[in-house]
Amino acid sequence: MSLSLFVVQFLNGLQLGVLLFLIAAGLTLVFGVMDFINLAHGVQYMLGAYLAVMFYGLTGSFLAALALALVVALAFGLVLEFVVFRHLYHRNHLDHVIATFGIILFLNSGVKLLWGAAPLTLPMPEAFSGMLMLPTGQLYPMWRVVIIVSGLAVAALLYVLVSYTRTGMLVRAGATNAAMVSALGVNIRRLFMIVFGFGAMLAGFAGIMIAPILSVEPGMGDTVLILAFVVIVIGGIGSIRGAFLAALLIGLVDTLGRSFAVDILRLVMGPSQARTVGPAIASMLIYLLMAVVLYARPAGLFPAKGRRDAAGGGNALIAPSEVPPWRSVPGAVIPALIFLAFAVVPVASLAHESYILSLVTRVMIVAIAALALDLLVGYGAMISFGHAAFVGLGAYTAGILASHGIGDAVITLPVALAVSAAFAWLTGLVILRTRGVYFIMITLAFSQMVYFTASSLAPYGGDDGLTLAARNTVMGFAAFRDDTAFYYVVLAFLVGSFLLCRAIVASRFGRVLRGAKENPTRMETLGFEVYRYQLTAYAIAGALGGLSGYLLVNATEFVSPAYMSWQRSGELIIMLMLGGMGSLTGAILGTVAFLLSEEWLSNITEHWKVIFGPLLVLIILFFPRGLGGILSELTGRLRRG
Amino acid sequence: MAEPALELQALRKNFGGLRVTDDVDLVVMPGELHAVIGPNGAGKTTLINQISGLLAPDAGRVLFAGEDVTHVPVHSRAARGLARSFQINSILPGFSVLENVALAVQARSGSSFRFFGNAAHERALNERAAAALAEVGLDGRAAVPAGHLSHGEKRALELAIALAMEPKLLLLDEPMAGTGREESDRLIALLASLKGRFPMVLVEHDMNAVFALADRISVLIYGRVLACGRPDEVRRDPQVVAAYLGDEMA
Repeated sequence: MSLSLFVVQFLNGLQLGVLLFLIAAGLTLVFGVMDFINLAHGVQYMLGAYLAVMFYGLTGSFLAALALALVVALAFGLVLEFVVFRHLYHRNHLDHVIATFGIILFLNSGVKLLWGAAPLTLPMPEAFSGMLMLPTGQLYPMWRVVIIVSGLAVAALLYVLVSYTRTGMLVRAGATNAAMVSALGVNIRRLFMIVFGFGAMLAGFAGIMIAPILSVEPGMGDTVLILAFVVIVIGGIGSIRGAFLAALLIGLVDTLGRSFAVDILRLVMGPSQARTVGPAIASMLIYLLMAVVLYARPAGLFPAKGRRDAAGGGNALIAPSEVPPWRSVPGAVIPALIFLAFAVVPVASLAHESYILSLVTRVMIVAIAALALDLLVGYGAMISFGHAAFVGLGAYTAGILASHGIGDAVITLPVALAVSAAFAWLTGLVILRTRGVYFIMITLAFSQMVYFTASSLAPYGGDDGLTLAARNTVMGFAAFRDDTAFYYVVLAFLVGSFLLCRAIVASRFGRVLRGAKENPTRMETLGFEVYRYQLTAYAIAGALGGLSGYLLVNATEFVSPAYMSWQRSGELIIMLMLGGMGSLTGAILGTVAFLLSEEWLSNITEHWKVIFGPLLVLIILFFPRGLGGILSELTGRLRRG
Repeated sequence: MAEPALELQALRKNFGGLRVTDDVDLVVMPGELHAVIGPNGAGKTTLINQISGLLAPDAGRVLFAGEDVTHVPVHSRAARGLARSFQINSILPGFSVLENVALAVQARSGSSFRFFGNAAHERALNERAAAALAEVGLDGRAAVPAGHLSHGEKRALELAIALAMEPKLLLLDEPMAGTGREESDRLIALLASLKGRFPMVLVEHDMNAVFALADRISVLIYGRVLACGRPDEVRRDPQVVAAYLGDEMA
């Protein structure tokens, strides 16, 4: 690696860091001041880019486009705050996650509807489109320098605003103790709105500035969002200074890692190995960095002083959930009916309806993952936003083994379960040291780590995924080959997983887990080391997720990184919400409801998420208890007449 | 002389610039009920939290049954028999009254890393839980969700949970807080009936309760032990009267 290359990559890293800071600054303040998880922050960045493209098309001037896009981004942020977010501040983190996830779905496919799926471009302003001569002699694009300089300028401006203005003082106070600020007579609603609008504008600004060197496309906000989360978690939630330093750190580590990982690895291994392993390690680097930081300091490098969750107190508690109506029917009746209905599908669907058969197979497979997640979220108050990683690991394990000619379930199934469980256990060691927002973020980050690792596994298809030559055999017999036979295998695993989860929930172990959900401190003072129980539950859920993935890869004879995208994790949470947290029957019903309505809506229009996203927001706003809540609301009304 | 059940040696804790525990020495003998009294902000709950392990002291040692447990985490102190009740109700509101207590029994009997077998049907657990409930007079309320209990009943449930842990030392943080006259009389009688079974540290504002129950009293003011002795000694101590008891008891 030469010095000149290093200088260029260093500047690139700086530019990424500055960009991340622009996005993370708003995010960390919204988190810090309102204790609100805004997953939709990334789409505000995307929106900034799209608005700039649109206004450039109308005005033909970059400056005018910049100004107009900023104004509209700010206005849009304020409208979102007014219409949706302010009604959610007093809700729990899970509701935040689901509602803002709905907004992402809406906006991502909304821009696709308006501007098409093809990437758009924004021309650079003429004056800055040239190259700059660096002191070391190479040429460097001037626009990137503009980004760095303007980002640093915004950082300086923010520093002054937060440190020396009245509003800035309130923001700092709010990040430490919002309730107290409100009790002192500050109009906290207005403060929230200002912070939110400003954050949205900053994200929009980042989107506008990066648009000339990046293609503007739907979903461009998602990757950046996760990186911004990593930044604020490392920096310490609510801390602008922490966000700034962490953003630069992440930008540099990520960029330099990608450029030099192969070269560095070649010092210790052969060139071809280095070329394979290098990219995978490079894409994991920042997540490993985050894991190390959080292991040592569970509240980040610069936690806002005196925050409730900074000390690691207070669990990500979910309000004791209302019992869904299907819990009032005696124990086994409803699950038995569900399984019976599954069992007759192949018979009822006229034998050759392979479409229905494969749809319901998928429903049952995903339901296994949902059951496992319910064990964590519904019974253990561990809001995992990375559950799809376990599914993906199970699928990839089977896929990779198959590509090496190992395709018998006797070997592949146990290995797939073990890999997922081991990953859960290892990451759980770090994850379970954190609480609240940090917990959600770090589960998300670890799943992204697996996602990017899989994407960079060129020998196994990389982004395109891996195709199985055939389904696994069982002791040499092609037991999975026939679709109907495989269907019943999946059903058997679903029933088995359901019974296993039910036994665990009712067991001594499950009782400790449930107790820790309600009051972890009490459990410690009774003599239970909550950490060990949660870690075990995490590993069990990981193994069950792996089972789901193993079956999925056999069902579709294909696996790709998309299996473990964070959207998949979000969907699993939504299924649980629909069915009612803390009900295993609900987990299955929620999966059925989600996947069938997805299937139905996507048959109506390819832009079904434009409908589904707002639907989610409405459900969270008005029926936070899911389908069960809607049902009992309706029956209640009927009874009242 | 028998070995003390609990011994605090020069315990010290600062919250920022404020010294909340200031060189506290305290000895609780086997079977003794030792009351800790003092005005609000004297550092009583902070002291209890350091004994149970929720807070780590800045200096000094906590000896439990002769062993140094200063750096032992909460759950293993509890596993060694250090039970506590909380000033603010700290039950599991979604669990039934019986299950709240059965969980405490479970902590004492065998491993909880059992994944099969319905814990709610384990007779051994339920019987001992029911016995503890009967002792505090809650046997009629076993099936009720704990969150639905009245305040006084919740205080009694806290006690039942502590009993079910078969404590070697029980820390009671204001068990009478917020209870009415009648309920606190019942609780006093209950605690009196438990006296001698295991040593207790009682933090309480209700002077009736303290003087009716305590074998010895330590008076805590601004984090320091102002006086320590039998109730009649403490009651007559001019320093204590001036600083805390005032006209109330004189």
